[in-house]
Amino acid sequence: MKILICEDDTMTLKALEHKLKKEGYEIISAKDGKSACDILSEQNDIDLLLTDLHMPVLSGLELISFLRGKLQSNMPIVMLTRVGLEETVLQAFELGADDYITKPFNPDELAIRIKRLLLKNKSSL
Amino acid sequence: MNKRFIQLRFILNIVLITFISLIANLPVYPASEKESAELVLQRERDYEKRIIWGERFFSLHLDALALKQFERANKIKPGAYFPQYRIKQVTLRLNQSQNRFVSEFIFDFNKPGFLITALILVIVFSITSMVIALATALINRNNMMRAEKRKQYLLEEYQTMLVNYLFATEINQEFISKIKKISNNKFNRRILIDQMIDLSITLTGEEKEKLKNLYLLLGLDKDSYKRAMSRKWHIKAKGFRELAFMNIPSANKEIRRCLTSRNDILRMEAQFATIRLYPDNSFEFLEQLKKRYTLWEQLNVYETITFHQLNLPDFDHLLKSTNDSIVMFSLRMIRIFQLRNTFNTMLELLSHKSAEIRNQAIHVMGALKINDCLPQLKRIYKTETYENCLEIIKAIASINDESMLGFLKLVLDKEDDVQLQIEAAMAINKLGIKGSDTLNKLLTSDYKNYQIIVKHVLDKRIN
Repeated sequence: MKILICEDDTMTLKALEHKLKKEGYEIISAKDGKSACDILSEQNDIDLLLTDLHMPVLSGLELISFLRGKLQSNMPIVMLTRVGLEETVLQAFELGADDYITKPFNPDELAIRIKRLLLKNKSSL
Repeated sequence: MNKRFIQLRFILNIVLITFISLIANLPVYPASEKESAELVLQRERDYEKRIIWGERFFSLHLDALALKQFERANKIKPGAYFPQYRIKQVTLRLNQSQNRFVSEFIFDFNKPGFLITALILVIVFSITSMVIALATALINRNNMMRAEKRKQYLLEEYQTMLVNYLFATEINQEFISKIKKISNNKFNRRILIDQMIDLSITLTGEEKEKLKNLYLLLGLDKDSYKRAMSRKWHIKAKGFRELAFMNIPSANKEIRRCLTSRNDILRMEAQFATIRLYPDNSFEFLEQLKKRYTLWEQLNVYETITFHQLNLPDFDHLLKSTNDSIVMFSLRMIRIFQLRNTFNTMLELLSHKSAEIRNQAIHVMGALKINDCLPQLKRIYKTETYENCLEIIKAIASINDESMLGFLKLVLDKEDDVQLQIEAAMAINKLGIKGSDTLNKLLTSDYKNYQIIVKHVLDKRIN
């Protein structure tokens, strides 16, 4: 399973990469929304997008809307966000995000959520 | 005989003239000689003048001008020694200046020597200082760039190391000894602490515990403690933050002492640390605060509460604070966290001496849609300030209770202020069908001309 992680904070990105690699996923990472868009346009075999909502160049919301709108993809999307940004989260859900997790996050919880989403997506196909 | 007489007469004339001249102190010259004596006098004055000017120019090192003056003086008195002596000196100086044109061009300002020397010293000193400053700046910049490069390199390395450690299933002793070796250096330790703080903000659960244990194992808590005890406020503030994030309550006394610090940033960091580190009495400082609790501080505490999902303080109790800014903060928090159980204390605030607090209390009651406060709001309406009256109408509109229709109609009818009338009409409109019916009736009523206000309120393009 291939996961695209889009996160501008290096430390968080490394932690996510490490945790998810350990869980057996293949990881592609992007440091901003624009690079993630490019990767998503070029690669069709990505199974899940894990994205931060606040990023430079292109925000997480724009990335979700690009994925759901332009690329017409049903790939599961998990958002990483801060506490207290409920409105943004609601906006993201409206745009088509599937789940979200708030920072600080428990890496085990994240792994479980991702696993659940991927399984759900696989069974629906 | 006649010839002898003439000779005698001539001699007598001369004797007489000489005598009279002596008496009159006049030069004893005949008419033509007098003229020549005046000429001599004139030349003497001219000579003196040339010498004086020549000397002036000479002392000012205006050699060309001095030479001219002395040459004229020499023409007037060709045999005089002094002009010739000066001509020699000036010519010598002029020759020297021609030979040393460049140096003279730089140094000869036609000023006294000591001034030139002083100026030269000042210039040399300035240039030297400038060169030293420039060199220092360049060296510093170079050092900073090197430090930054090193920091970047270490950041990458430490991030990978820490992540590897945190997600490893077993504790890697090799890693522990390697990281211990690294943390011997103060600079490296600093970077390591920053990275660990970064990670502690992002992660929770088992990994965070592991991170804290590593922090303690490397003795980094001692570094943070030292910083917390530093005399410099900015270092102290950083120390507080590190201890708070790593959940190490060692600097308790110092943190509590700084809760009343005059320094806003330090005080805020102490508040943040207190909230994070001492959950049992984390908001105790709000009760003790005598100073104005700034909006910035309020925002920080609010952010800390939400970000770390902390238990809320007893805002009901804080509403009774003598510090108005604390009361305002409590009211804001009551609104945000929808704490309706504080209603009774909020009612008491409607008779608070501060109009601003009364206004905020009315606003919060409206925002929380507390119906029970309506009779009280109605009662105080007459005695309130204009701003608070507006807030009361807005609160009533927000609570949206049909029982207030009569009161709102009264406001619309009795008030002269258009803004109050508009707010009242808007509140009526919010009451649903009953409200809009009332407004439509008022629109056709001849009793008073409400038409403009009601039309404005009913205009969907505006409201």
